Amino acid sequence: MTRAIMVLLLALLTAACGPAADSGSGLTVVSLLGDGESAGYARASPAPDFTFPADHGPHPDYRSEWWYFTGNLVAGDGREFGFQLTFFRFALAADERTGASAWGTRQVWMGHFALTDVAGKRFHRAEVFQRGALGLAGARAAPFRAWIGDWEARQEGDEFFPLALSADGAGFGIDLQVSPLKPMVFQGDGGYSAKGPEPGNASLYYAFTRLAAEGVVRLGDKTVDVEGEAWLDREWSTSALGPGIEGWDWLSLQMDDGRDLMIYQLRHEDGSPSEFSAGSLIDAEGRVTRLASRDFSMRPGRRWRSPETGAAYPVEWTVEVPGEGLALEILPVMDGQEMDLSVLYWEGAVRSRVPGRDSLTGRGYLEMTGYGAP
Amino acid sequence: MSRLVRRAGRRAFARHPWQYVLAVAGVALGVAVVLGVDLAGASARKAFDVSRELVMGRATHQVVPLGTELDESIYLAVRRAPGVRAAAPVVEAGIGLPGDRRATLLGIDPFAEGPFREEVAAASGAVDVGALLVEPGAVALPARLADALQAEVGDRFTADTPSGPADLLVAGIIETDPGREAALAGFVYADIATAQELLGMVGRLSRVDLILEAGQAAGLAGLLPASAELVETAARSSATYAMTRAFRVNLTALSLLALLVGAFLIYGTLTFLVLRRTRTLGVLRSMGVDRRGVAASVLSEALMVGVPGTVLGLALGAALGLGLAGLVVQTMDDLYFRLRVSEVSLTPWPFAKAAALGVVTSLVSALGPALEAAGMPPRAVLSRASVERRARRRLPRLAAAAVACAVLAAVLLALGRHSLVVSFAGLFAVFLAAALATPPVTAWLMAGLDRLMPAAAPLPLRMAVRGTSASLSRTGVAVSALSVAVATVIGVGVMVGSFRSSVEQWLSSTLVADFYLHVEDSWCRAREGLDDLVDPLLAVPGVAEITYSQRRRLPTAGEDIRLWAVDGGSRGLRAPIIAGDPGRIREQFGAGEAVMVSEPWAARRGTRVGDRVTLPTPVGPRTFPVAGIFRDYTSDRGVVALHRDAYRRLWNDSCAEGLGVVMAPDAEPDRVRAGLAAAVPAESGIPVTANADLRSASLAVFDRTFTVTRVLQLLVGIVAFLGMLSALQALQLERVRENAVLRAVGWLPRQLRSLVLTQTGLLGLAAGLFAVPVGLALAGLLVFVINRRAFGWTMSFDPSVQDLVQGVLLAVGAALLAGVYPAWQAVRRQVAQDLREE
Repeated sequence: MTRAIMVLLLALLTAACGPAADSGSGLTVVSLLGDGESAGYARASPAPDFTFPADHGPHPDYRSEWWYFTGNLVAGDGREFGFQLTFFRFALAADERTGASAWGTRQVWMGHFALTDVAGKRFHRAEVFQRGALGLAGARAAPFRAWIGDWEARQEGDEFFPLALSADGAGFGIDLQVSPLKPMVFQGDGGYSAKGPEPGNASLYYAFTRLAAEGVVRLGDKTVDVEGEAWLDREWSTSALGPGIEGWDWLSLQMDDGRDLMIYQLRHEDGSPSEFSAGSLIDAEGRVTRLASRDFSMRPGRRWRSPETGAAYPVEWTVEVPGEGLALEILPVMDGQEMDLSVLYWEGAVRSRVPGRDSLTGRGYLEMTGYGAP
Repeated sequence: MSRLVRRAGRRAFARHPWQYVLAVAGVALGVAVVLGVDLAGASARKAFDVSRELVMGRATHQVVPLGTELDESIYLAVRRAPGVRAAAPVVEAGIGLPGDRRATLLGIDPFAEGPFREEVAAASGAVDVGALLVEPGAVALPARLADALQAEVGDRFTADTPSGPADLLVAGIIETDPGREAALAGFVYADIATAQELLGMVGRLSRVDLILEAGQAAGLAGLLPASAELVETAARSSATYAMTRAFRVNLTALSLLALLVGAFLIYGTLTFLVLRRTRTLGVLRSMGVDRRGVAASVLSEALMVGVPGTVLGLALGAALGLGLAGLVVQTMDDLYFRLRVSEVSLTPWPFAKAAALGVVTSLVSALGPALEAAGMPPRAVLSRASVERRARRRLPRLAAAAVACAVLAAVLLALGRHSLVVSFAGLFAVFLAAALATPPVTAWLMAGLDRLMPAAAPLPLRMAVRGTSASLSRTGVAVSALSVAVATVIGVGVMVGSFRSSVEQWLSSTLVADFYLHVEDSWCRAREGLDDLVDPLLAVPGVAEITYSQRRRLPTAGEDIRLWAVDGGSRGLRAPIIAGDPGRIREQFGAGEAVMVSEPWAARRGTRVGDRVTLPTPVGPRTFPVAGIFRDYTSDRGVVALHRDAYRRLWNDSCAEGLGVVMAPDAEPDRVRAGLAAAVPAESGIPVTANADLRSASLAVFDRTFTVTRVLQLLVGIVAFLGMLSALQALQLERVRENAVLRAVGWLPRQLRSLVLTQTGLLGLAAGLFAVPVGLALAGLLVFVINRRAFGWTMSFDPSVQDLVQGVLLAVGAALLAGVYPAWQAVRRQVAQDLREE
């Protein structure tokens, strides 16, 4: 069994499971996706052949997979929220478990849910774990549903969309309905997103970069009607990261001019960006421009040190995509959006503006991993 | 001046180091016994808490099966129910490990377990939970168990599980904090899927642990099927702990007896110190030292004894606690429930208590003598005779106080019919009365002896008799202590002896089958009944019939009900009947229409023949009339006996943990035994035990239960012996001049020796004789009052002459032994020098 999985599962045992989790064991995302024994698992291969709705569902033979929803919401009174709701699936073994017990499974599910209350200056987060057995957690393609306990993303009608998202932490929750404003985007090379030099060090990756979202945010006893825009990333892989990668910085941005930007930068241990960093720019009509590492730059700015974990995250960035005439400053809606759960990372709502100007030009989500000591 | 006084005190100790050593030892032992028992009690409490936490975790409630199994679908239903904050499924059963070790295989869902089990949450170490989830037979071992099995991660070993031998893979070693290590070592952890497969429980759970929001229990209980019940863990665990209350109260009472004797000892020691120094004090007074100075001097001497004695006692007590903790935990384990820890917990509170006790008792003991010394006019102090005169004047007052205490004791015992604590208070009053009465009774005894003595009696004997009552100021307290100690020894001895013979009788009337087989519940469950076992057994030549016994605890909201499903075959239930018509019992109980309750049950709940008892069954509550009350020592919480046929019908359970094999009258035991051993399925590991072996094993458990009692008994005796030794030494020191005069007028060393030894022997005899009635009273109290109230069972009162004679001999022996050294010393002294000293 791989070291990474050992670490994960030790984290499972040591973490206070349940919605009120607030302790971090300092597990890094890299160790989940990094150097693992991948023999026997399915591997991502170039020129993937996607079929839908089957590929909306789970791919149990790949080691890890996620359904990753983020979004920026606003209430009728202008109060702003950010949310993240992720369903992670991890396979613990390449082969199905044998044995008669219905509890037996090789699939473990981890759910992360965060709500950023910008006006209230509160960052709520919760984590759940479940085994993929007995209907406690799982996913299916049609009609689509991914769930961990009572957190779920569920197909509402005959089609994949609209999806109903629903999750509850301790004293915070969401009930949202999301529908696409733009068509599906295959990231990387037709959905094959290489993350390292070796073939197979890649993930299968598609996204819905702009979803209309509406519903409610629950905070304590209060329910607030909200609407806004969300983003869905779907990714599955067995060995996504090559050696020597310490972490990554990932940004999704929905700009006021209708364009959507997704870029990620894989960082070497010395902090330099990997050549496998990549991204894409989707125009208002949904046309995709692929961005290679040389096509853009991400430069870290001000750092914020987490009082909880001591990890220092560059919460402000300068992003340039010269070929598209884009130069942006990325600013968090608040500094403290660290997911100090079993897996340690920073994921939060951000805004963009043109350097030197005050007016905002877009909203998005920033994810930073590999900054905390594991 | 005060420095001079203090120095005088210190010099007194320096001149008589043995006196000082004995006094310190006396205080030390008194403190040690109290601390030791306290620590053992605290360790038992800790053991209980840790074991409880391991078994129940932080669950507020549990869903438990009313029948024998809980379908796993109930977990899915319950965890979604309103008010359920967390739910965790548990599958558990005993398994056998290499080296004849047994452990509980605990199957849990690691993803549901977080909120419940701190030992899992607090665990660290190399646990490959991935393997735990996907590898067949993968388990995680606590570090201590892994050490014992010499197992490392990746090793495989074979374990005996209910479904046969299984290959287990060590997928992890769990490290935890030292406080939990010992407790954890009784468990083998596995993923719930693995545990279900290993234990033959696929599709079933042992229970579901729950954390409920307040006030949600009733609603949830309504959602459960009839075969399951919701119970509150707090109520369960407090009921469980309450079970041990009687035992703990007894233990505390013994430690208080030790304290009483210890306090006597401390008091005696300090009184002698003061008395011995009356001359010095008189001199100091006549030199102008004021009363305060004298009193302060005496009190500071008390501290010189009390503080080192206490410090030493704390160290001794900690060591004693280590030894006692094992015994106490073992007893609780034998009697009540599985405790998985036996380590002494060194919490500061018992130490503080014992320390305060040592120092305060020393000061309080010295206070009387100090005030007395301060209050005496210098001239009176210088006169020895006035001291004895005053001591004798005190005798009637002591007698009066003894009578008052006796009255108080009678009142307390009469009032405390339902309160164990009041009963014990009464018991102490009895002891206090006895202690107070000892000096006057001894004086009267000696006066009587003196009058009865023929004029021709040898001089040393006559001098000894008179000298004994004359020396009561010194020896009275020691004699009291000795007699209390011996009375304790006698009383506890008689009680244990009576109890033992009652248990023996009960065993011989209850255990009527010739051989017994113990069947693991999980083994039977895996085979869905006993047919695989019973059919071959019945086929063994010489086997006449088989009796069945199944004990199980029926969970209720409060205390569990202990149900004994029994089928005694053609001979019926053989337990001695205390109440109820035997014919009707045979008829109604045999038909499963009525239950019987055990004596403790009837005593605790006030149940009488004809009353009704309601049992929770998987098909709903069922009410039975009580046909009779039977004698039973298996549980002080009480047992309800129901015929196994009715039990099988209601619980749909065809298992039984105890099988008895009755031989045909002409059968050959050895041959039958061999036949049985061969008939038992080989992989089951079910042992065949002969009647006699089971009986002696039961008595061994009984004896082990009272080991701690006997140890304390012994300690009380030692404390008393030390007191006696110290008192006699003080006495002989006083007598130095007297003895010198006797030697000077021509007494032979032999005569002097016999004078001293006769005197100590007489004191011992007085203490011993006085201890007999007090000891019998104590035994009677223990048998008829305390045991009945604490445990609800009666026993025959069976004092053996041997116990009583032993008690008297113990007293005389202790006194004589204590007198040997003073006697030897008295003879060794230089006559001329002793005479000159005056």
